[in-house]
Amino acid sequence: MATECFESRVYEIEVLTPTIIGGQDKIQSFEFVKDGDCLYFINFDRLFEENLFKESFIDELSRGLSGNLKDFNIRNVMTKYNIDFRRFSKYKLKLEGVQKLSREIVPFVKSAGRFYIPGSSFKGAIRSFVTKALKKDLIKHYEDCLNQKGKVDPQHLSSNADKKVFSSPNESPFKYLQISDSSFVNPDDVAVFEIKVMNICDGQVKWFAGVKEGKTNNVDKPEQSSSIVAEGIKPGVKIFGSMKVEKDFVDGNEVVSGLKEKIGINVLAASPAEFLAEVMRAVVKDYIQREINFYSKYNQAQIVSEYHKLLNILNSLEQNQFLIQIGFSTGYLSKTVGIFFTKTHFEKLKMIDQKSRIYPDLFPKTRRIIFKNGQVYTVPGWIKITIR
Amino acid sequence: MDVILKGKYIIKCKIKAVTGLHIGEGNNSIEIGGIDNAVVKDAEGKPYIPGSSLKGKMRSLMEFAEGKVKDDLMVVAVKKGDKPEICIHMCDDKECPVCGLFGRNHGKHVTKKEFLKDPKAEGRDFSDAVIPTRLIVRDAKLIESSITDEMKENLDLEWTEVKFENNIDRITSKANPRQSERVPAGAEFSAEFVVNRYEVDGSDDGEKYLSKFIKAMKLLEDDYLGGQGSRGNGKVKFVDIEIFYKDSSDYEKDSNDLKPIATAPSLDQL
Ligand SMILES: [Zn+2]
Repeated sequence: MATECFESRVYEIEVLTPTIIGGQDKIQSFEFVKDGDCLYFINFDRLFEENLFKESFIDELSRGLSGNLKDFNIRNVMTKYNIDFRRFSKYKLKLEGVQKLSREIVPFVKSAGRFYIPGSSFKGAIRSFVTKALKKDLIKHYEDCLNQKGKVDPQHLSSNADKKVFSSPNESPFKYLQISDSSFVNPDDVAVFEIKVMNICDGQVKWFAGVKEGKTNNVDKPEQSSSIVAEGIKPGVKIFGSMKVEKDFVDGNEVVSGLKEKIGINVLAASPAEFLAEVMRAVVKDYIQREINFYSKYNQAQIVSEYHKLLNILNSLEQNQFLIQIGFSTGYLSKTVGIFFTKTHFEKLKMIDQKSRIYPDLFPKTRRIIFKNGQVYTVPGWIKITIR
Repeated sequence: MDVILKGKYIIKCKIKAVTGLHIGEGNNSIEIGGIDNAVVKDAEGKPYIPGSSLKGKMRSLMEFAEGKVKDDLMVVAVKKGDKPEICIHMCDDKECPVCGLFGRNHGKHVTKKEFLKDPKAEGRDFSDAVIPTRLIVRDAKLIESSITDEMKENLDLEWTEVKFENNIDRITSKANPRQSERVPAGAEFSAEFVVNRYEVDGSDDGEKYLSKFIKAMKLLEDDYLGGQGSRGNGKVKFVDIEIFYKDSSDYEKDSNDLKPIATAPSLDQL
């Protein structure tokens, strides 16, 4: 056996559009200070520690943080006590054309305070896109899940199909695909972005503006709509990690059936890593083309041109490269097999998943769009992968 | 069989967590006031890497690398009814690098091939080939200073963080969050390995098993240690490596000031 198959390879991620991978707790407005076009994120541990002797400050701070002070503004309190917020910040991020700063910010996932892309998010995205390349008879398992009788938890609706298609985690080909967490991303390479939700109502583009009296409110003008503000990695940034695509991932073995026999497209690649890249390029191309059709229909010239740029990049990739959309706000279509669903499927899904707003005539009818200086800018989460 | 201990290679190094590291407690019990899926900790409450975890992982990687993962070369270690649940490689080949380094168990073993034919097969003893295990792996203790104050300010627990992971339903896109504890990337552990050098029936091991062990270290760097390794965790690197050799005659003298026979900042420079 050649030793090469035990060697892990380096993956390079090049961020193409702002990429957001949401972490656990939202960052509240009292946790940062806005100064010009920068946000300073306060290090409360240090702030408390170094100012313990200033009793009234600690008092005021504690009351403010516990929510007992109306209009509590951390910057004013710090200024009042002559404390420089810059000195007590963990990191600062630039606002990338954010016009409407919301009360809370979606944090990027961090490990001990450091920004990174979890291997799990990356691998999860690959798995989602791989399901879009499955043979028709395997897709059918997902459709069959929609015919289940009795109550099903929408969190676990696909688990039967997942098992039939990929087997249990122990017998899944995905155990032969190892993807490590990425290297850490310098805060200078991270910025704060503004996202708005585009919603197609009666064939017209509207923008989500919150919920009023139990009904979603959609408006014509994006400037009147709600914003999601999030930490994201800037386009152009490169990060690295390691990846191992074993032969068994593609070909399988006596116990595990490989991906090759599950995929509905003809793949020529010789090595396992190139096999993965080729599958991803094919699926992503189809996905992008569908999105171009969608945005063209609703006259979103800017997004259409962004997707054409991505398509051009895709068409010029090498054997060991692919594109993928990852993370927060990438939407239903990228995370599911819904790309194959028809109106009838969505009618069934609506019966099972009554909490989500499913419109069988057009689903998904929303998209999350990154805005810059009040204008439609791009779609989030597109990255280019090179396996070395 | 005559086995003489010629000496010991002692490998001292640090194991650096390149990504977060989750070595579970072995059961899924919830710590009191703790979180799901805790990492194993020592008596002082600090995470550590059990020698058994390191040894087990290195063994299984070596089994693959040495081409020993075949039904007739695997024995059933744990069975579940008529099904082989866990199989490991074990054989009576005296030259086998895997068994030679990682050891063989006493008692009767049924190969997977035999078991699949007849789950009641009695198996056979490898006693003839059983010699004391060459590799000893100590528990690797956390080097406290490797978790910096800056990291500590951002940790959920004293030495560890809680990682949240979402399983996404492929039909509804609903997230099903799970949490698990892990040691953050950058943490270092001090590790020590001993490779015994034997003379078996007049034939000296020389450096054979030392180089096999270094191969196992390299295999581990290209794989992962602990849980959720295929999803990001457990990438480790051996750093600040020192190899000592202690001849069996050294044990008769006072030999505290043993000089390393090799040192290297990392495996590829060894
Ligand atoms: Zn053996």
